[in-house]
Order: sequence, then C-alpha cells, then structure tokens
Amino acid sequence: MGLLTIIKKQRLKDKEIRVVMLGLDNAGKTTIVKSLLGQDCSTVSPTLGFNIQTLPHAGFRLSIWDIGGQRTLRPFWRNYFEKTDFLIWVVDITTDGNRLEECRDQLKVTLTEDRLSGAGLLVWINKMDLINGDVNSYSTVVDQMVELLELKQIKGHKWLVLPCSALSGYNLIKGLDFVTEEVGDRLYRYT
Amino acid sequence: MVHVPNTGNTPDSLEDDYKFSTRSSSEMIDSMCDLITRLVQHVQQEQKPSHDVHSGQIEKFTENDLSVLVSHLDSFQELPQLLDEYLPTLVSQLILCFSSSGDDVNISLRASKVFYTLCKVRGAKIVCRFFSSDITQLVNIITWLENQVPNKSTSTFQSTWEQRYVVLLWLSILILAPFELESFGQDTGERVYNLSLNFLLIPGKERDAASMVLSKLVTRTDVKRKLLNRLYLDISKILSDDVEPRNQIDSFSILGCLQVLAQTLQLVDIESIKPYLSVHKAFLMTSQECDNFSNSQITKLKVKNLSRLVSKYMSLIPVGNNEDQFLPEEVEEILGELFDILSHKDTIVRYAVAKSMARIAQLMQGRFEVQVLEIIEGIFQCFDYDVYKTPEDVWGGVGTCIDGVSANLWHGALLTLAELLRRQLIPISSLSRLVSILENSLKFEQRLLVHVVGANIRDASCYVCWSLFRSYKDLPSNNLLSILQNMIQLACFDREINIRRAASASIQECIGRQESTIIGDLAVLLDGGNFEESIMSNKLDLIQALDYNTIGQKAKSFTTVASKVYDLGYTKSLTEFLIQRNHGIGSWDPEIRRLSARCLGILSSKTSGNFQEYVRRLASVYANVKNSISEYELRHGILYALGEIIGAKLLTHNDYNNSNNSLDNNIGLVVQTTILPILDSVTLENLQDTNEFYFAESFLHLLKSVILFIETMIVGLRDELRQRCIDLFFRPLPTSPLFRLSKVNSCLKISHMSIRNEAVDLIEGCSPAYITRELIQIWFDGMKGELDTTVTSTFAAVLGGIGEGHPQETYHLVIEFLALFISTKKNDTLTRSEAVKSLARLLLLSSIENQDRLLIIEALISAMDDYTTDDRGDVGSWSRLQAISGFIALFKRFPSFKKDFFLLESESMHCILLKTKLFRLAGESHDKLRLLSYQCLVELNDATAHILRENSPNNLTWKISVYFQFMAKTILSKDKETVFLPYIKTFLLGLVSTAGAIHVSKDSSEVCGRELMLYMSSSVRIFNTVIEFLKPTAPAPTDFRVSGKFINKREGSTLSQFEQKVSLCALRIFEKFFDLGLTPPVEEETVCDIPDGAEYTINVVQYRTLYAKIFNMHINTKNIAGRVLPSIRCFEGISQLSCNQLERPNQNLANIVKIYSLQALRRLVVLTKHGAPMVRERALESLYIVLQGKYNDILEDDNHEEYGLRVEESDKIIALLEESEYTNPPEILAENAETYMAYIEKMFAK
Repeated sequence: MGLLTIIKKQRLKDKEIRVVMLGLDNAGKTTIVKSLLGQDCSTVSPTLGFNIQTLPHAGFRLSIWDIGGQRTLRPFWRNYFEKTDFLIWVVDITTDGNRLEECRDQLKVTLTEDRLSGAGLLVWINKMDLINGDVNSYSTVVDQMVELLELKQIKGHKWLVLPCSALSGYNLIKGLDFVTEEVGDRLYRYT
Repeated sequence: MVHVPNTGNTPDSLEDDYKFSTRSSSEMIDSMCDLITRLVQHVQQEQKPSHDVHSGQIEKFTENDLSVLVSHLDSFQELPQLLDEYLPTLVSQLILCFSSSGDDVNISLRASKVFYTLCKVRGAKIVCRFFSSDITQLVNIITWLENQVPNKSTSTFQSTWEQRYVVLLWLSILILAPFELESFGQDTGERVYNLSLNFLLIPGKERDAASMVLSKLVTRTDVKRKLLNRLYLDISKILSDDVEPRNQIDSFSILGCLQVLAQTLQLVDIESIKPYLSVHKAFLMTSQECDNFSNSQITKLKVKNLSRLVSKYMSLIPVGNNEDQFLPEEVEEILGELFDILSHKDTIVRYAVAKSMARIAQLMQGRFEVQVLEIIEGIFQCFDYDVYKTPEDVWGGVGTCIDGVSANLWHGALLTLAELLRRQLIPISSLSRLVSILENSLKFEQRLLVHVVGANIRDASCYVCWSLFRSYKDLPSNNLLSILQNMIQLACFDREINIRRAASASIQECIGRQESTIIGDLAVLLDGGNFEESIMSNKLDLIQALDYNTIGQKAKSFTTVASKVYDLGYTKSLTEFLIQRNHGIGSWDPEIRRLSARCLGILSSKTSGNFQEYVRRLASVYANVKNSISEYELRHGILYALGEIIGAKLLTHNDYNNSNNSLDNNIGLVVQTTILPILDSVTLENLQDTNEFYFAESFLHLLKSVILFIETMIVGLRDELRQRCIDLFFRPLPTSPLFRLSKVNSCLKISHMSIRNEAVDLIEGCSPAYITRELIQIWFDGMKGELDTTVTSTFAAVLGGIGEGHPQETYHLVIEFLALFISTKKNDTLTRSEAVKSLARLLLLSSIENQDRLLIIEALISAMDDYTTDDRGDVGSWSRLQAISGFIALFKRFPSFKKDFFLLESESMHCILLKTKLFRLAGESHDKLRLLSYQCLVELNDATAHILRENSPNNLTWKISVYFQFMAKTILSKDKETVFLPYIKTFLLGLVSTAGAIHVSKDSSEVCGRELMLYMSSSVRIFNTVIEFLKPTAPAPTDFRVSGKFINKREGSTLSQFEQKVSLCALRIFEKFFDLGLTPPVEEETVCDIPDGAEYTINVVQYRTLYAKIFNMHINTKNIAGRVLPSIRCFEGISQLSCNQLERPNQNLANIVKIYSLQALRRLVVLTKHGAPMVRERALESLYIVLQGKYNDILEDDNHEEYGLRVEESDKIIALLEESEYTNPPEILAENAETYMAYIEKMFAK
C-alpha cells in the first residue's frame, strides 16, 4: 500500500472525474472554468502553464485540467497513471478558416492518444455572445462545426457539440451534465 | 462473438494466449458473455429430455472454458467498474445456472467459482445487489444451508466453499424480505440465526458472507428485539470462552464476531443499540489478548468497531448549546486506545487507525474544536519522541538525529496527518510545524543492523503533501517551496520507484493547484537567476521531465531526468542532495552511490564552475572522512564521483574541443593539486582490506579517469614536452607510474566482479609505457595462483586489457601464455573462460602479427570444444560462449577480415573447422550459445551464410520451435545438401545431443526430437549418420594439427566426453524412433560427393552397423538404465523390421534386414536370462510384443503347408511367455529361453 494505491482508491471513492480541457489559444478555456467557479472573468490572461480546478457537479468531483493552448501537449498526456476520463475541446466561434483546420488536426492527433481511449468528448463552441442571431439559429452553427471538425469520423468516443458562452454562462451547466452522465454511466455506474 | 482460444497443448495455442493477453476489455466482455451464454445453454440442455433432437448441437461448457472465463474476470481486477454495465445480465444468468443446475454438481460448482471470482473482482456488496430477490427461494436456501453446516464430528462438507459462499450471499439479500419472517415458518429467524452463526466461526471465506447475513438479520425490525440481545449474549460467550491461550481456529471466531459487530453497528439505529454500547466497548477493550496471535486483521476490525462506536456515542449527544457539552468519556477512552494502536507493526492497521482518527475528528468538528486541536497536537507530538540533537558534524550544521524514533509511529502519524488534511481539519496556522516535520520525514531513512526502513515513511510523507495541495488553497509560498524542493529530490533520486512516482504525483498537484502562490516565487528555487519569462512554462516542463514512465527506471531518473531538471534551473537542490551523508553518494546502496556519482559527473559538465566546485567540495569532505572507519560508504562515493567528474570532463573535451588539443590548464591544476594527493594518500592497507572492496573499486575508477586524463593531456605534444608533462604529474611520487600500478595489483587480489570490470577498463586506458614485462609477469602468476577463482579470473581478464602499441614479443608472450592456459584442462574453468575472452579481445588489435593471430584463432576454435562439467553444470559453456562471441566481434569489426586474412578464406582448413564447430553448437540445447552460433555463421558472409540469412523466418524472436524447424529444414533438406554437406554431421551431433538429452527443457527435446525423427525417417544419410554417433567405447582424442603447437597438448579431450554423451543420446533417439513405430528410410535418390572426399556416400541404411553398434552398446556396461534398457527397445524395433515395410524392396536389402531382425530376436531371448531383473523384465516384455506380432503374420499366412502346426506351436509359446515372470528362478528362465530359441529357429530361421 502506498500513495499510488491510495490515489487510485480515493478516486473511485470520491467519484472523481478527470477532465482535460484543450483547444487552441484564446478559445476561452480558463474563462469557462472561472465562470463555472463563479469567479471574476474579466481579468483572464493567457494560461502559460496549467491549472487544476475541482468542481463538484451532480455528485461527482470534476478535476478540470485547464492546459494552456499554445504548448505541444502530447508529452503531457503520458503523465502519470491516471487515465483521463473526458476531453473538453473548446473552439472559438470567431476563429477563421486556417485556424479551424489547425484546430481539427490537433483534435484528431489528440484523440489518438492511448490515455484518452474511450474517453467522452465535448466540443464547446465558445463566445456565442459575439454572434448576432437568436438561439434557434445555433443548430446550423453546430452542424457546421460537426462538418468542419469531421466529428462523424470519430470512433470509440461519445461526443456532443454545444454552443456556449463563458461570459453569459449559456450552456455551461448543460455541458457539465453531459460530462457526468457520460462518465458516470461508463465508470461509476454502481458506486 | 469472439472466438475463445482453446488452451490445449498444440503449438498454436501459445500464440493464441499471447493475443489473448493483449485483448481490449470489450473483446473480453464479449467473450465472457459468450461463455456464460454457453453455460446457460448447457444447463438448459441438461434439463431437457434426452431425446431432444437439437441437444447434441450445443457445445458443452468445459473445465477449460471455466478457466478462460475466470482469467478474463481476473484481468478486470484493476478497473472493476468496467464490468458494471454487464453486471445485471452476468449475475442473473449465473444465478439461473446456479439455481437450476439440478443434480449436475459440476455446473453449480463452476457457476459458483465464476461467482466468487466476480465477487472478488468487483466486490461482494455490489455484486449482491443483482441477486434475484425471489423470496420463494428463501426456505429452500435455508434448508440447503442447514444441511451444510459444519459439525464437530464430521469435518467434511458435501459442497465446495464457493457454493456455500454464494448461497450465503444470496441469503444476505433474501433476508431483507419486506415481510414478517414468521410468515415463512415460525422459527425462520432462529434458523437463519443459528446457521449463520455456525458459519461465522469458521476459517473459510463463508465467514464474510455469514457476517453479512447475521448483521442484516439482527437489525430487522421484526426480530431485532429478540436476536440482537441473543447476538450480544452469544458473542460474549464466545469471546470469554477459554481465555487460556487460544488456538488458530479461535482467532477466526474472534474475527467473525468482530466482523458482525462492526456491520451491525453500521446498520442498526441508535435507539436499539443504546443498551448494548457499553458491552460492545467492553468486548473491544478486553479483547486485548487477541494481539498475542499477532493477527492484524483482528486489530484492524477492532479499530473499525471503535470508530463506529464513536459515531454512535456522538449521535447520543443532544443537539443544543455547544458550551454545555462535554465529550463523552467513552470517546476520550477510545481515542486513547487508537493512539496506542497507531504505532502497530502492520500497515493495514495503521492506515485503519489513521482513517478512524480523521473520521472522528470530522465528527467532532464544529462542536468540539478544542478536542480536534488536541488530536492534532497529539499527532504532532508523535514526531518529538526519541529525537535528539546531534553535535556539529563535518557538514557544519547542528542537526536532529532521528535514528532512534519509531518508524511505525511516524508512519501511522503521517497517514493520520494526511487523512486529516484531506478533510481540511488541520488549521493553516499549523503549516509551519507540518513543514518542519516533512523536512525530516521526506528524507527519512533508518539503517538497522541488516536492513533499512523508511520507504513507507517517505511515501506517507508524499501522501501528506498530496492531500495538503489538494485540499488547501493559496498556501504560503515560503513553506511550499521548501516542500517542493524536497519532493523534486525524491522524484529524481529516491531508490524506490513508487516513491519517485508518488513524489511526481504530488508535484503535479502542487503546481496545478497552488499556482497563484508559486508563480512569483519559483525564481527563489531557480538559483540561476533571470528566468522571468520562462518560469510559467517551466512548471509544465518540470512535470514533463518527471514523467511517470521515465522515472520508472532508476538509471534514467539519475541521469536523463536529473539532467533535465537541472537545466530547468533547479540546480542547488539537486547538488545538495547528492553530496551528503546517507543519501546520494553517501547512500548505503552501492548502486545508488554509483548512480549519484554518475549524476554528479553529468551535472559537473554543465558549467565550467561546477567542475571546480564539486571537486573542491568532495575533496574537503574526503579529508574529513578518510580516516573514519564508519564512513567507508561515503569514501567510496566520493572517489567514484571524482572519477565520474573527470570522466565527464574528458567526454566533453572529446566532443567539442577537438581542435584545441590541450585541456583547460585550470583543470590540469585541479587534478594535480587536489586529486593526485587523494590517490596517493590511499595506502596499500586500505586497498587490501577485502571487506572494503568498494573502496578498491572506486580507487580503480578514479585512477582510470586520471590516467585517461593524462593521456589526453599529452596527445599531440612533442616527445620532450610529453615527458615533461608526465614528470610533472608524477614528480611527487617516490618512483614511477609503476608505484600507482602496484596499488592496482593489490586491488586485483580482491575477490569481486566489479573490481574486474574497473581493472580491465583501467588497463585498457594505460599507455604501453606503464605496462611493463614485470607487471605482466605478476598477472601471469596471479592467474596460476591458488587464490579464489574470481581473483585468478580477474588476472586473466586484465591481460585482455592490453592495448595497441606494445612490442611484438609482449603480445607473443601473452598469447602463448593464455593459449597454453586454456588448453590445460586442470586449470580453473572460470579463469579459462576469462582467458578465452582476453584472447578474443587481443584478436581485435591491429598491431598483432598474423602468426600470433593464427595462434589465437586456433586457441579459440579449440575452446569451442570445451565440454567440461562439474557440480555447477555445463561450465565449459562459458569458454564456448566467449569463443563464439570473440569471432562475432572479429567479423563485425573487420567485415573484410576473412578476405584479407588468408587463414579464414572460405575454403581454408581453419574456416571449415570453425564452421564445423559452429554448426554443432547451433544445434545445442544452450539457448544463448545456439543463437550466437547462428549469428556467427551468418556473420561469416559466405555461401552458407547467404542461404541461412535468406531463408531465415521474419520473426527473429527465435522461439525454440521456430528455430529448429528452420535450421533443420535449411541444413538437412536434400536440395541444399551440396553447401551444407560437410556440416550435416556436426549439426546432427548438436541436434542429437539436444533431442536425446535428459536434463533439458521438455520443449527443446520435443521440438528437436520431432525434427530429427522427421529427417531420420526420410533420409538414409541422416539415419546412417546418427548410427555413427553410437560409440560404445571412448574414442581416441581427435585433435587437429595444423600449426599450433599448443592445440594438441590438450590433456585428455573434453570433446570425447561430449561424444560419450551424444552416444547415449543417440541410443535414446533410436529407442524413441522405434517406439514411435517409424521405419528406416529406403534408398536415396541421389548421392552427392562432398568436397573433402571422405567416405560418406552410402545410400542404404547400414543395418549391419546399426545392429553391431547397439549390440556393443549393451554389453560390458553397468549402465542399465542408460544403455541396456534402451538397447532392448532397439532390438525390439529391429526384430520387427521386415522387408515388407520397405517401399521398394530389393532382394539384397531384404536379406540383410531379415538377418538382423532375426539376430535381434535372438538377442532378446538371450537377455531374458540376464542378471539384472529390470533387464529380464524388459526383455520378456519385448519378446512378447515381437512374437505376438509375428504370430499374427503366421495366422494370416493360411496357405502355408504346416499352417495348423505352426499356429499350435505359436499358441504354446505365447502362452508360455504370458506365464513367464522375470522373478522366475534362473533355471526356469534358462529352460524357457531354450524353448523360445528353438521356436524361433524353427519358425523364422529358414
């Protein structure tokens, strides 16, 4: 018995869900986390390292690893034994075409990681508050994003695309619901 | 559905197993569902009437299926929740099988085994939920269980424990039935109580389930009034029973009682239990004597009970005004008890106490803040016992000495702190105290007389840090940084992999969660200074450097990881850790000292300042410890580290500084003024102390670096300057460099492997000037000395370190000496094999003349025939191995060597001879030898090598079956005979020695045997060759004489011993050959000439030779089991041969066969009179078999004129044989034998 075993057991007991939040820089990842934690969102500067925030939701403890957008992330995944349960991918709706392609490629590469096998995927289309138009028109945005990111080709991951806004808090809780439902169903069904 | 591999014994199943281990979880679940469905079908089929038409189509569920299913389930042990989705179906199907299995005991048995495994993997409580709650089963189950209750008179059960376990678990669900128990029968409650109490007191697994049943029963509202009271009465009887020393069984009943008590406490409501609380506490407090059984499980359960009791007591306190309330006395008492158990010798108990204390503290939080603080204070005080201050030491500081503290107490206390922190119960104001404890505990190590403790304490300290970082926000940075620093040291340099990883996990939490405070202050740690811009990304780099997988390897952590961490700026903490007592280069573990030294070497070359600083520090510490007896570890570490530091300097010099030929003058000065004096201060007495071989090792290590350093210094200097330079370095010495090398010689006399390696490296680096004839003479004498064989072999090894540039006479002298040494069989085997290795090294030198090179090659070839054995086994294989490796190294180093060097041209005598040996070794049973021989054959790069290479199978894993199949096919197949012809015989020699060997793995003898039989039964040449291996008497040594005068001086051929062994192997092969009912091959189609023109072209099986050889094998020997018995089997086989079995009989051959089959039959008759009972028995048996077979021929031949008579006589003989016993008196045996003989002569000799 040692710390490593304790961590493993503790995780099961606490119903901890390890979520990694990624996306290109300036997509609004840290703002989303701050908004969820009810903190002040007006003073977010680029994340250079990473932050772990714990967020209780629907009886689970979500450990959200918010990782800066501009670093090569690959080696990071291999970091220790804890498997990542869920991947949140944040996209900025105002992103132009080239960047979106980069975004798609990054997502594809990331999903091939061993440690992410079977993990659920939530794509948050952030900054919807900057777009004119009512909520009903959002479904076309979602469809476009599914096309752009070629999500239909993904196998082995349950996924969902949600338009959201970090500033207004729109669809943030709904996203977390998806996370806990997906992971809870898969890993914590009877605990 | 996924196909489930059968795990039979076919070769394919191995590969299936391999696939099976890499399956994904979903595949395994599919396969499991498949299996369970089959189990269900099997059950249904059993129940159907037997005339059902389709019943035959369903596959049965076998024992094999069961083991596959169980092993699938077991592989979910690490992540059992992956099974959850399938649990309801799995469990309901299993229950179905289990309950409807009817009379088929096997099915319910297998179902219960699967059930148990499922409970083990996923946890009984969770699996239980899916049991059917069909209460109509309740009465059946109770009745069944009552019949299984163990009673004192018969201790045998009618069922397996898995079955009882599962049924009890099921009962534990059914007992929750929401009806009055009375409605199932008047005394149902009583019945369940009685039976489960019985199961509660036994040592088996049923106890766990029984306690679940019992606790649920007694807390039922309808019966609790009656049964709860009874439970406490019964338990008090059991616990007070027989207070005298309890035996093992009794401790299980205590265990059962405590289990049920704990579970009852959890389930029961406070009002019902209130009257029993004090009794309950009394049980726990008086069951003190349990500890005498050293049964930690009991203590752990006691802790569990105590903690639940507290929660009951706490719930009794009325909610109201806080100030008026007092903590119940009982709680105080229990806390005191827990503190006592905190330092229990077992981890599970300590951890249970830690969790209990934290839970209690949490219960008290808010209402009894003062008491919570008291608990924390109590825990803190645990770290103050037996700590005393140490006086100022060489490190210049006053420290605290924790050598006397109780490691168990510290561990327990740290776990408690971690649990408290996790619940945020420790006020932030205590942080500085916590940090000062961590300062000590993160480095904790206690050296006891024969072992070291403390790893668990460092691990628990990491747990404390981990909890701290997770549960608290915005910790003050000054405290954090010192912890972080310690943790980086642990992650890089701890000896234990788990602790390196635990530290890395804690660092992640720290950096990820304490960001706001750390960012600004990280610069304090980074003593390099201006890292402002990279600080933040630096944190991520740190985590990447301390990667979970990379730090899994000790060597990598100390080198690559530490180097990366250093580059990130964490310089000081690393250096400080490495240079200290008890850690780093002062560690008790020599491996850690060496690794630390290597790390210092790497770090020293990072900046120019490091080199000087490290050397200065190490030298000053050395000055303090050089005369202290107890600091031998540190001395080893320091000298080793100095060696590494100079070595690293040379490495960077070679890498970057090639244009500039001289090293930095300052460094030369440092070596001259600091390091040479250290080397010279080492006395011969120091080195000769055999108990301190590490010191000698480090001395050699340092001297090696210094010598290399001097060599590098003087490269490119003119002669006169060079001399001046050497003089400068050696001036302070009384004599020449020899003086230092004389110290080396005394090191060589220390018996240890690491000394040998260091010494060889050192001699290799020495320039020829140092290696004088006198020195070499000393080494010669050392090899012949009467010392320990490790020492003599060390002397043999250093001779191989002689490098280029010596005069030819020196080489000649050494080579002659070594060759002679190898060929003298009475010399020690280990030393001989080292001598072979040394010769192989010398072969690579370019300054050796061809004449000498020839000597070496001949010596190496003859070493391949070293088959010396002693009580350690095949010790000759060491020499064989070194010789082959020598040739491989030669061919790799000089790919064109064979062309340039006349001796190894492909058709030369030496080359053929070498290949002959290699082909033999390529068929041997020694795995490594075999593969190396193959490699060497390929490296030869000639015609045979090409064929071998082109046809080699793709997977070079060389499973033994793949290898032999490939080799036999390549070498023995007819179409390739021309190239391999000269080597078939020697390859077969190796193959026979493997296939017929007794002491060899079943795998290799089977695989080899299969191939051999295949080719023996198809090729006359191969069959005849194996016949040749039968050598009843020891052959005369066959040495080859080309030029070497040493080769033929061998005293007694070791090869002949090998041939003796092969002879026995060949006999066993023939025995097996005939046993399998194989027939010798017929004429060969083509006959090839072979290059050396030997008489080899025989196209008919040599029956005459076969018979004669086997005849000779079985006479004049005492070796009944090895020679006589197999020979009888062979005679049996030969006498069963007839020309009818040959495909294309030729009259001449038919006659020969007939003659020898008759001869063999006669021989069998003679052997029925043999002196040894075993021989008589076997001979009678064989004779019976043969005559029985011939009798059938007679029966078939009903056209024969004397048919009736022949049958009649044969009947008589068979009857006589059936009656004969080998125990009959000799005269009867002799008489019978005459009868048989007469019969045989009459029937077959015509």
